[in-house]
Amino acid sequence: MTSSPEFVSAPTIEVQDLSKWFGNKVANSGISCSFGPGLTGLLGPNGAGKTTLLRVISGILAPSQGAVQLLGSPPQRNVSIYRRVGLVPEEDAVYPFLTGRQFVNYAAVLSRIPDPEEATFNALEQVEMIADAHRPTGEYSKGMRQRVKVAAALVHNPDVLLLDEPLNGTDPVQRAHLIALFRALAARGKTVIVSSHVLEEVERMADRVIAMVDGRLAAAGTVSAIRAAMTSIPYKVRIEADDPRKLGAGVLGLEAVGSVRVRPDAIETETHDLGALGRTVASVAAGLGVVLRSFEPEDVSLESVFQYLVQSR
Amino acid sequence: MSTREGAVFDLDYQRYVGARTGRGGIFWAIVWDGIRRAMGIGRRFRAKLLPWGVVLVAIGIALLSVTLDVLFAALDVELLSHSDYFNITSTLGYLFMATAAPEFLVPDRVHGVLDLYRSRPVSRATYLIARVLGLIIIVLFFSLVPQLILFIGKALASGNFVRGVRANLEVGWQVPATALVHLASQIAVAFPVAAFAKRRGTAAAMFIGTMLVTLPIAEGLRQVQRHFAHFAILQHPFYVQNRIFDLHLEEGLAPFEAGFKWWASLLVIVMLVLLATLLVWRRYRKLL
Amino acid sequence: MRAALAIVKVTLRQLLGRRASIGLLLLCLLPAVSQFLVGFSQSDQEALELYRESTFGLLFGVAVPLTTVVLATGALGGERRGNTLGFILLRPISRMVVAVAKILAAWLAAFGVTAIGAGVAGTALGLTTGNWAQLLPTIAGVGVATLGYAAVFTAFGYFTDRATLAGLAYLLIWEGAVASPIPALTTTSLWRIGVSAYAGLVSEGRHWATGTGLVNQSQSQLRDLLGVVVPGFWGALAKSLVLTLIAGAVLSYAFRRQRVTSEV
Repeated sequence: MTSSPEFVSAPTIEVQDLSKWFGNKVANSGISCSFGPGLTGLLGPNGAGKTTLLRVISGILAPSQGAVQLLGSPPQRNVSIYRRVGLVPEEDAVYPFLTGRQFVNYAAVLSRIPDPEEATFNALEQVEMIADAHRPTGEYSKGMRQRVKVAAALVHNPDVLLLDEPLNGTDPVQRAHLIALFRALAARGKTVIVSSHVLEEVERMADRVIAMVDGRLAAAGTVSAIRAAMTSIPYKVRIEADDPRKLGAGVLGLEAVGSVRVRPDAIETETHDLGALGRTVASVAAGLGVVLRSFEPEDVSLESVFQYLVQSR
Repeated sequence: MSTREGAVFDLDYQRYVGARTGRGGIFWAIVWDGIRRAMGIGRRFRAKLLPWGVVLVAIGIALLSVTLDVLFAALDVELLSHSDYFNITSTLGYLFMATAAPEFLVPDRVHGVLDLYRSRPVSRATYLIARVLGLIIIVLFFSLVPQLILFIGKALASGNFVRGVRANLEVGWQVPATALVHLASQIAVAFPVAAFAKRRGTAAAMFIGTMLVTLPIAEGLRQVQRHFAHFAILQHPFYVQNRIFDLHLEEGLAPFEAGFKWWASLLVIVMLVLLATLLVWRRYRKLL
Repeated sequence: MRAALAIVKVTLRQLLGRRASIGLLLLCLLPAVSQFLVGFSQSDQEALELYRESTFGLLFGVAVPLTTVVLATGALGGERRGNTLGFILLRPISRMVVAVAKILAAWLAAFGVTAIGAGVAGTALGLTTGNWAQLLPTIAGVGVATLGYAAVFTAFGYFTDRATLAGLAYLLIWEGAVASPIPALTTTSLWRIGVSAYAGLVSEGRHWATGTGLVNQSQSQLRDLLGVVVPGFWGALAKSLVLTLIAGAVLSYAFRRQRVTSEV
């Protein structure tokens, strides 16, 4: 099983044929995958079932069918595993009458931390909320509430961190800081799952991506590996050169090239074999006396992959 | 965007070209929205359970009385008069008002939806009058439908339907008038409570608590000759109901023995309604 | 233990830090206000009779159940509405501990508010007539009554977001119109738990006021009110504790099995 990209070796979270429905609405359908140490991005359009999957993994929701193992046991059966799990939910789950410090301290006490005050301070410091910790969370901006929720999830130093849209409402500086924090946690061997719509940030953060569409698993693996697996969709490649027209005429005869479009400063080609094109275009250019300036696949980005996945449903 | 050579038109956005209903349309849309919400129309079964359950119990009481009147018509005994029905179902009436009134004001405030009204040509007066009208409509529905059943039943029980109807024609104004007086005395408490409460349940509980507690407290105060207590007693609609139905039950009733007339009760109720209006108006001054 | 106390503390702040709790306190103080204003100008016996009527009718019959229903349904209902139930349950704390902590918080909040009303009413009687014997039985009865209501309606507040309205319907229809006229059904009445606790303490002889006519009348009123329920403080307390354990067990099971989000 671990040879498939949706599974990892030494998983901390295992999802086996999971389905979850609410009345007639099927939120998750037949999902099998696993998560391990490192940072995994959970992607999908609105209504794809990402939040439901995270809730089932955390134990907030019970599966309608299938099974989930969290740190070796089904969630909610053994409450002691929650010493090692932290969840940042999507909704505003804070007590508006508690200050930020009181809220994180409450989380620490409930997690049975020996020294909750010190843990609270450290968690607030990690998310840069020390200065505003004395204010009630009801007065916080959206970004501040997100950060204090992250602090509450981190206060007990969990091994598994489930984050549902953690970057919502944060400004670019806060976002960069949180991304660095999540990457640092993943580098320390923690299992971090981040669900997000902000594809650019997930691309920066995640080593591995699980993509969902319509409640089903649509793709898994690294971004480039997922793209490479989409053999039915040719790569779009932009090649800048000093004489695009001459270069375009030269590459048109190559077997790896499907189409060529000439632009003022570059050519745009489509190819099913990116590697072959990359190997041959340099020699073709040299033979024609054309100087190449850049060779850039345009749709290996997560956004392109994501769009292909959504459009193909 | 356009240049001298050509123009590109955005075909996605189109101006609305349908009928515009105007402020009247807005007003009735708010009225109907309140009725739908309070009665659970278009919502799940759980939202319908309490309001319609109370209505069905009220109708059931009327049907039971009518059935017994018809079955025992020969005995010429009236189980429940129209006035008795108001007295017997007063607690049900409190429960219905407690269930319905908060639905008209609390959700919009708590869910932050008032901004949507503010961004439309809806004035504070339009909004509040539409809300209170919706409440009046459903409370009158609750009060009058069972009374109509009683009226028809009594006409049937009389042996001659047409004669029975003619004999009780005065009920045609007595029942709606009494229903309005009951409605006014309850709305004077329910609406201000709903205007301030953050939860529907809290509003309902505060309304019922106020209605159940004030009268006994007033009775107790009256016993020590505290004349102002009479005003608290007079807010009960019974005294006006007694006059409307011409029951002549003044003997033994403390306010009448103290020299107050039935119209003093009506005046107290009207003043309470005005006070409630002022409270709700001021409450919504900042919100709308 | 520390986690349970933290849950109790935060829940108390959640329930009592609102405008509604002031309104509920005023509701509980109304019988006392009446006692103060009326008692001074009445004879001792009349003042005691007024106390009995307002205590039973208003405190145990209206103020205690309404206050407890509003506060108890908010203990878990508020967490569901605020999406914070997951915050508590995704912690290494036994489900039973969470359930009992919530019920305890609801009881403390309700008892705190209603005991003030009961205490002021009893103090009013003591100051106007010199009869201090009603004070502790009233407070104790209120304590037992609020525990029973808190157990039932904390659980209700978890299962439905219309729990307060359902509680009001229970009070007005079941307690007011069904259980009262049918003596056999009085055992199902939560209201009578508190009254039987109070009655058990005042019928021990030494707590009765002087005036045999009044004593006999009050005793017979109590018997009519209680129906087949036997007056007794310890029996009433046991009932409330059993209700608490049952509610705690039901909630604990529900936490393990059911959704904890506001999605239904």
